[in-house]
Amino acid sequence: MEITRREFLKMSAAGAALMAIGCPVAAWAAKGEGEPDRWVKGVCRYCGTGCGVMVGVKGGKVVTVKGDPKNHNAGFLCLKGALMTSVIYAKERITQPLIRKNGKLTPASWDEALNLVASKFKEAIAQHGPKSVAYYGSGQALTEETYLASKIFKAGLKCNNVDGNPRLCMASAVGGYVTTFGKDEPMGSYDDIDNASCFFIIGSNTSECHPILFRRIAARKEANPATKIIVVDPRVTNTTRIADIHISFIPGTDLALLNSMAYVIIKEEMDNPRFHGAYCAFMDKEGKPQTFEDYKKFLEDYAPEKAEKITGIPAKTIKEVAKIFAQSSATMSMWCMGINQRIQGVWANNLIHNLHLLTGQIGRPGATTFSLTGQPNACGGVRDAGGLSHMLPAGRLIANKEHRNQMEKLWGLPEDSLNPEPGLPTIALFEALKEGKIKAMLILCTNPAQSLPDVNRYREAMARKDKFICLIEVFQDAETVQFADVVLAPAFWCERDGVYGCSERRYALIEKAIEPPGQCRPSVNILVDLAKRMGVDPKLVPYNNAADIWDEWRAVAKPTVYNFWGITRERLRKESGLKWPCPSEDHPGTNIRYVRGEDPLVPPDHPTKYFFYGRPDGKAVIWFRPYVGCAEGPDSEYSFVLTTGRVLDQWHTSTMTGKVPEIQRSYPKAFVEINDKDAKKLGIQTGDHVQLETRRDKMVFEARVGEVCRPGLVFVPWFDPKLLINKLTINAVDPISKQPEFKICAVKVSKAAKA
Amino acid sequence: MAIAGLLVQAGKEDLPGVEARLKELPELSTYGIHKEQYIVVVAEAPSGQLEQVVERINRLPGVLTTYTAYLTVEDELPGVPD
Amino acid sequence: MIQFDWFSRLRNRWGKWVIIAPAAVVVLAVIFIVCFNLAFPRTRCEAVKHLEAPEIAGDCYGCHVKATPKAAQDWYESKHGVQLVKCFVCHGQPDGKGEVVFALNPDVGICRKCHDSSVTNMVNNYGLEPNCVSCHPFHQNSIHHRAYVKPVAKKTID
Repeated sequence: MEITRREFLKMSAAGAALMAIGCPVAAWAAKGEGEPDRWVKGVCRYCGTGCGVMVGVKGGKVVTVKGDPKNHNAGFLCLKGALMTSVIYAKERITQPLIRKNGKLTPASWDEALNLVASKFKEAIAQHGPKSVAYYGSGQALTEETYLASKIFKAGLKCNNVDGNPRLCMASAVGGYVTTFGKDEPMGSYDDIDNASCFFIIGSNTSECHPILFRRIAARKEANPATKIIVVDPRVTNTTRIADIHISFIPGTDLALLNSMAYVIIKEEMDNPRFHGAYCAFMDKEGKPQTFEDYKKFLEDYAPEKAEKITGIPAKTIKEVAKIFAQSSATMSMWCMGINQRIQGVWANNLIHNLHLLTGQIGRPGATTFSLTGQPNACGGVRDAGGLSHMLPAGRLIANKEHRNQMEKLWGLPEDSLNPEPGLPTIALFEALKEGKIKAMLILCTNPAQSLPDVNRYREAMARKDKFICLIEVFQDAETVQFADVVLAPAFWCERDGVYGCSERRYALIEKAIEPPGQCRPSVNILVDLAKRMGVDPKLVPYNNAADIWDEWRAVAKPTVYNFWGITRERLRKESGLKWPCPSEDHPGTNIRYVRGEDPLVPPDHPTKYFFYGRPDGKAVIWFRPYVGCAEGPDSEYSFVLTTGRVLDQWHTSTMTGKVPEIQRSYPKAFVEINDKDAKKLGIQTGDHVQLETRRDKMVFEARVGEVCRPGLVFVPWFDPKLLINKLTINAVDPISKQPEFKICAVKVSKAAKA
Repeated sequence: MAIAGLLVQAGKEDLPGVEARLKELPELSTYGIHKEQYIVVVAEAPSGQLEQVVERINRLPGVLTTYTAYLTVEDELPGVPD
Repeated sequence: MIQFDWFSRLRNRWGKWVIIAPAAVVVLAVIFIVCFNLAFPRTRCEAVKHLEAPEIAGDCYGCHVKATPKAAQDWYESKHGVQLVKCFVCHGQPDGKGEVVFALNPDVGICRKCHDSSVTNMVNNYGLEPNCVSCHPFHQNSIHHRAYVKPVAKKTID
């Protein structure tokens, strides 16, 4: 049979097409790469839910990601975690060190870059002292990275200017837990979701910011339809789709609501006197001891009829919600940035805890007061390992001599050699940078040129000629890169191993799945190298890898309430994470803290069931926190409230999610959400251009008109580097936690001509 | 001269109509509907024009998208029009 | 006036209805279109075909709520809709950009991203070709129950 070449080629072409769809159902349709050779266990790179993942690797490349069925998420992932692959192989990856020469970042060798950074730090310290340098880290860095950086600066350089972006998101939650219970971190765990009969969700768009926890809450309601879900938010978000009651309120007045609920609970005798009588101390806002009768007097200002005037919530609704909260068999509260990113953030946290302490809705499966963490490792890394300017590892405080002496012993330092003066928290740190007092800063794994409030001030600070910034950053298009003098190239996510600790006190291991590209190095190795070149005593940094650091950190935490001695590297490899306290290798981890029989740190023969061992008298505190409004509320000139937040698809400053084509096309740019009644008055329709102006800056956004925001409120997501909404936000901070009030500032809204 | 093996994807109801229109295009030979969503097509065109042929297919009503499964370019072949 | 002869004949037969009936149809059509557009104010539909507006191709729902309203509503009211498992997670992007293969009927590998143990279970216990959608409502609002309400009676698989 004769066949021409042309016919042959045409038949090949048809055959190839047929084969493309005819091949047997491959389990992995990952663009023709085929089934992975192996699956490597890890933790999602994104939010504080901390979902377990399995990274599919074929031929040394990640080809797909699926959920880890053995971790708390039972295999489920939100769309961000499910689409990680594109992020790893983005073309914007920085694959070798860069030094700014003549205004332009140019490739350099590791030696050249590290020597330059070391010399700048040494110079600054020699001329201006250790206070003139700083480290600004991240709740997305590995625990080992944060522990190491904190040690290098505090022990090696005697510099306590070590802070991190959890100052912007979780500091108030830390303040709340510490002032109420004596120690940080939630008592409960995600298991409580499966047992709660009432969810009180306030200041959280759980559906978009902790989607897999939202799924678990919805599944609980599906299993037990009598479960009540109360959502308190000035926006009607997707979270309210499963809510039984949605409460909108005037932004900033939620403290009045919480106090009013306490009033109703006591008035209607739904409190638990046996519990609060035995386990609670009452204190006024200055910390002076008070009585239960004093508390009742304090709450008289918050009778529902009075609270209605403050909050805009009908008194009837306040009573209804208080009743459901108190009388359900197990009530779980969850909150996030709506409560934390406020100048009264710590107080707001206290008031939520108050409700649980007053009613005894605490320390039982399903009854717990549970703070949702924003970032994947704010808990494990920064909070627990002490990566904040007033802290030392495992809950110790710089200002406490005994704590300093403990750390000096553990770190092999001479007694009283640690700097006793706490360093600068984030906003104060960047203000000091602005004033020229900080000469050299090392920034790891965060993007302050986009994420700080009132960011024009700090971009100006970072642009100073007399400062030196070394940035360790994965992507060249991150906003902060333009201000960096040196950029170092880190390994990303599963290109190195390390631990993440999520909201529920679970420490889980990200295992190395692939080699990093180009000349990228794991950040722990970068930090050790840098420390040695800066003249830090090599005995302080005897680490070859993250596992070495982990073993030291275990030992450092062992004598404290963070005791996770039983969470060895081996166990982390075998298990999909373990919840601390975990004092020994055969201990399964802890679901509920402070309760005899549940918490290994409560002696089994302890005389009482509950023991809040973080506090000197073993009792938790019910704080008298009055309602105080926000820093910059609306007035006649700036008549709207501007609030910022996240959307499901785009994570934080979108340096990662923006690399995922599906996501970038889902939310290509920021927008402003406006209430439809407000929009009508201003003549605005969806798609129109709207100018937002605060006392700090102005910006034009496309409008999305609808019923999400309540009248008087506008919402803008903060992911878009081309529309930096943080230029408009305010840098006012909570006096206790120093966390900024991203959630509320006053704004003028007007229709704009097309930009 | 370029020869490409293509998969043209269309919605279930649109498949017969799309196939008919594809048959009308001179550069194409169709090889049937498969898996209830794909039409296998072989396109033959001067290599500089192949892209436009694919564009033309994409613009046909009912076509969702076109995948290229195979491509060969034979510009040096004697006796074959360029 | 030969060309209007048929019109005159109709007019003679049916009288004024010849004018009223078509006019009514037109008016009703206009009302329908207006109501539909009011019901979905400014719902985006810049693209008639997938490839015309790739920069917003990730907002599938925005167009599909008009283009394929039943599928869109089914998804919105299903568990995937409540959970915001958006279209592109399973179906990919029309121009093939991104990680997920563009498919009307996604491969079971996509289901495995979240439902791995369930799929493995089914394959082990029932030896079934893992084609989930033949039994499971991937984005379907069953007429018997909505996403998070328990059905009164269980449906059998036929």
